[in-house]
Amino acid sequence: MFVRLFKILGIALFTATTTWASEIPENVSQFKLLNGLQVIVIENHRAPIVNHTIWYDVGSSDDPIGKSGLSHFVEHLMFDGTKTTEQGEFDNRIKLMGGFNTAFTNREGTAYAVEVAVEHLEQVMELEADRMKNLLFKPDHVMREREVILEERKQRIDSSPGSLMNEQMTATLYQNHPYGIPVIGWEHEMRTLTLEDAKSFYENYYHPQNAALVISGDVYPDQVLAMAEKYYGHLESPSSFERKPTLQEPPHRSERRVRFLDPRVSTDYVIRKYHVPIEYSSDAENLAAIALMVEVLGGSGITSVLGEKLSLEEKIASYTGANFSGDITRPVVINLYVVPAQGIGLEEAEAKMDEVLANFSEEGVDPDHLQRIKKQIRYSRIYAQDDAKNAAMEYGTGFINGLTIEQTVDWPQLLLNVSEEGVRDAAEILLSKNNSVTGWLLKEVSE
Amino acid sequence: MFTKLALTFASTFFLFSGLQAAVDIQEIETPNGIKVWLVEDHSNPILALKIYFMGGSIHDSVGKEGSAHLMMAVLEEGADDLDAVGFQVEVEELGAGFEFNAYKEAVSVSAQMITENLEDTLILLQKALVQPNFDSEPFERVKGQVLTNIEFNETDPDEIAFDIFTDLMFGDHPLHRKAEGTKTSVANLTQEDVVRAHQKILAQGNIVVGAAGDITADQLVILLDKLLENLPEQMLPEIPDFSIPQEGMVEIIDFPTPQATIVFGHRGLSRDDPDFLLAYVLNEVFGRSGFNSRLQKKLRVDLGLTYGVGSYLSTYQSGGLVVGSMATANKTVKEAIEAIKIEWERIANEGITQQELDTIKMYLKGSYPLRFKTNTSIAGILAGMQLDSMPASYVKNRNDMIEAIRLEDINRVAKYLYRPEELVFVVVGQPDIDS
Repeated sequence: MFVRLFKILGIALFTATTTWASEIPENVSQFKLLNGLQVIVIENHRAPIVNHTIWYDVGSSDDPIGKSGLSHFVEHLMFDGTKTTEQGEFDNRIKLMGGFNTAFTNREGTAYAVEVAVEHLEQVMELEADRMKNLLFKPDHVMREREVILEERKQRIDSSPGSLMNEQMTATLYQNHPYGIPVIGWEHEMRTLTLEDAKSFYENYYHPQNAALVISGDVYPDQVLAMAEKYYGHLESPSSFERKPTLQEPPHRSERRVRFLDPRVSTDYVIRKYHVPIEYSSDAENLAAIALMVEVLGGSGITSVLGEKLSLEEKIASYTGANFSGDITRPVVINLYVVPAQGIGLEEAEAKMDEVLANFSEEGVDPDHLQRIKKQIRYSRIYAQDDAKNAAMEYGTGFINGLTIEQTVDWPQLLLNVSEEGVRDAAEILLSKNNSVTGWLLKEVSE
Repeated sequence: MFTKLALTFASTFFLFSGLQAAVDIQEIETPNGIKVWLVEDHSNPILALKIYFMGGSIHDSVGKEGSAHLMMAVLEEGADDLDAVGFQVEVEELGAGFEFNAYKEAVSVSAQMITENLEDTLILLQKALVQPNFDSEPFERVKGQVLTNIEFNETDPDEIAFDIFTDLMFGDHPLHRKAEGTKTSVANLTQEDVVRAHQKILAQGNIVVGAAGDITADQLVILLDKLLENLPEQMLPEIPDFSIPQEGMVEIIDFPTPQATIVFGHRGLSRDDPDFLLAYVLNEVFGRSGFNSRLQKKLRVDLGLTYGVGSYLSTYQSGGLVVGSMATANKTVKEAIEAIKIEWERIANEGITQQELDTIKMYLKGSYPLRFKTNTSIAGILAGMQLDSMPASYVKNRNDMIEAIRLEDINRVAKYLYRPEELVFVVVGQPDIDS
């Protein structure tokens, strides 16, 4: 057991109340300020650079009913200026430091990341803390930015038949959970977003109690903590705030199918999505088994099961693959895809895919293959240290998914512990088609 | 979702700019004459390599377009005693990562490896580079993948717009080709064609290497000579110069999409032009995407017409282009084109202000060290600089060169770099324009 206690500036700090399952690495420290802000510091002295990311535990799942896209809209408006800064000033100041900044919204969270030479860290904190509380909403800016997000939707979703089908499939997959609603929003609802919507959303969710500050790079914990106290410490959190209730999926009782026709399609393909029942996916060991099962099935082209069977042996696919997303606390979805080889139709491609899945869940995994993947997991931990940003992303994602820092730390070991039986059990999900949506993307041919 | 085999040979890798961080570049030539620049870093047990061979799709024979690209794509699909799966399994066992790419004027090999597996990884890479099998199984499969990619791009408005723009700029010159070739040319490629492309391009003579990570110069020299020995001498065909049409126009390609893609631009500078650095700094003010550039400020912030707009300098051995792109709703295409033209005229007539220059200088100087962040990025920079015949001392001097830029120099360049009357717009969509 390894607990860090820091007393700086006379302020008593947070220590973990739960028992830690495993030691957190030497280079990682966590604190909690009195106002509730979590601070995670990851030392990496590889280059004189620091990554400053503030994560808000609010994403598209928190968009009010009828206001889809609101969390992403607020992310855009965060660049619009505060009581003491002009519109565009945030970008300009970071630019003057030679830094890079970016922001993103997903279903669970919104993150604002800045990467700068380490001597600028204090200025970045000052700017970022300022817009946690003091954002200004100017009517003309807000309305223009709404046009920008509508253009963004057109660019990311409407311009791509593949993205449109994915949106349809996701909306079909979830029968109750807000994960069925696109992060960027439905266009007709985006058009109705107002300044008042954005303002009340911001006031409800943007405060220290609902955020984590992740600092990764050429820094030391006591130095970061003192700085965080100075810039974030005085910000107030409400005593309580409203949060949308978390919904669960009911049992899925029927397989669903989407046929998406679009004249812009040039290559037909088939995608299958499986919703994993939460009773299974909420156990971290099971989730690790899913991760490895997916990797065995379709993580590496022709050396994975789908590629070997469909591209090499049957020669019916030009590309195949599998991945998953989600976490123990969130809905987990497994995606499989097959892009047929020239001259092969989707019906045949899907039938052959199902054959492979049936055989795979019966035969299980080749032990050598599983060992090889575990070797790569170990190696990938070494590569990850090349860039301080990687660790920052891991811990930040853990935070918005409601994980403790220890759970994030434990994850690689859980992957290494997965057994052949574990993979075989996880593969059974692929047989329960009632949990799935299958999508065919097809070229629409006019008469 | 797809692994894209092709990348365009855009301006990205010669856009480095200077640095103050301590980057100690060792310039080495191996006994076999391979030029390599190394930055040693023993803090993490990994090594990144980047190799460029001069020679790319512009050297494909007529009717055989796409052969260099297909050749690069099949390299990792079986070599020496290993078949395609055998090779991939070995890569995975070693925890290595290889990437093979083909561009218009060069092909590249990127490799990352764990130092405890250094020698085995380089032996494996040597097999791919020097003794590839090009067997019929991987050949036909990968050719099918390339054809799928080409087909995929056929209905991608961005790809269509860039293709047509490139055709309008380069006409019949080999630079107009896409590295991956056309549906017809790729369908006709044979195993012999890729063998020929391999002999032509992966050859001695025009190789540059960047290395960064956990290795010493002595080790590197020995391993590199082993890696690249037994390659034939390079014999590339001469490529003629090109000329770019100088008449502005708007070309509309009817395509059913709610949002039109617009690609625009005209002639620019070659990478060895003495004004290149000035032009680069100028364009950072004008069109660097993702920042408050002039284009972004006008079209996104002030007018709300687009999610993003940007411009960049695309350079080749014997010339270059100024290129921009954006997407906007069909009904606002006309307004967007007008706004772009106005910005183009404004910068050509008035140049930029001292304040804009000072701001961009600070940004460029401050951000340069951040590029030298990871082994992979350092290796890429070191190889790219050699490809562009830049001296290693550039890294040390670059920020001073930026600092020394005067407003009058940059505005001299603004007068001829941006040519509003020559602007060619390609619009893919269904814009409301009565042309």
